Amino acid sequence: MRLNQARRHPPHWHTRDEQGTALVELTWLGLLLLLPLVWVVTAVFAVQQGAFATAGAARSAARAFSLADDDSQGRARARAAAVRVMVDQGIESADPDVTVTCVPSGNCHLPGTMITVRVKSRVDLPLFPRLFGEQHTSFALDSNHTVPIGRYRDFG
Amino acid sequence: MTRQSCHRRDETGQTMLLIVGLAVVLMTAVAVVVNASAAYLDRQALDSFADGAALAAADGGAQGNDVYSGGLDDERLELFEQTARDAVDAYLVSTGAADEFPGLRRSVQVDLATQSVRVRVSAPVELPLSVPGTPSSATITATGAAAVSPDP
Repeated sequence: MRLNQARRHPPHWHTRDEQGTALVELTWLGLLLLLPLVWVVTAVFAVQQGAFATAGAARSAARAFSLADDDSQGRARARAAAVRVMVDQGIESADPDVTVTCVPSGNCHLPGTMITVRVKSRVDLPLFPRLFGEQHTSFALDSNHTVPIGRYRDFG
Repeated sequence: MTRQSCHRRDETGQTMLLIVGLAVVLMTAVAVVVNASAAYLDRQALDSFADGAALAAADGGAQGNDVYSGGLDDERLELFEQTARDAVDAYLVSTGAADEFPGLRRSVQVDLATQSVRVRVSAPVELPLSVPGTPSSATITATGAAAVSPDP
């Protein structure tokens, strides 16, 4: 059947049908499959980079706070440590929100106190159209770390 | 000539198949990498708990008996395993680590030679993406160590 069909048409008939198909398929399938995939990968890794930085920032901020002499110095050092860690992790526009709570509340540097540092930040999703609004173009991240204030420290 | 044209007809759609196949392979690779980095992030969170638990263990394990027995010098304070273990349990409960990582297990060891405490925590985590042929969960482990020494 195929042979008969082929005989009826000149040889260039089928050849002409297939000309350029590969290029067309490569273009539309590439656009349809690979571009969204690249965007998803970029966005996922941007968020994971941010999560990694936020977790590291919380840990460093908690240690910085606990090693400071008093609460006000501790808050300043905790924020500085959090910003430094986030910049080190490649988040240049880092403006983390650092909050410190302690149990029991009051003076957080009393021996035996458990302090918790919470770091909140946002990561901008790459190549995301701004028309969906500012809230939807970034991803909120937060992390906290709890450390004890040692009972054997000199607080004189 | 006829045979040649037949072969050409058979090959239509090969490019599409190749691209779809490549996309599937890429997606699988991406899913594996996403799973691995998600597990790594979980491990980092567990590492924070291990660090905090080790500090709590060192603080709780040091009973301050040295003060009464031989006075404090530059050496590390003596640690007690049972109180260190209690401090770790209290820390893991108060920080919500047990809720965050269901199936969390911990081991606490006091090294009497160096007077340091070593806390090891491990937990199973569910991987976010399912990839055929790969496990859906992984076990992560983190270790923290701490000691108490007086300020010089």
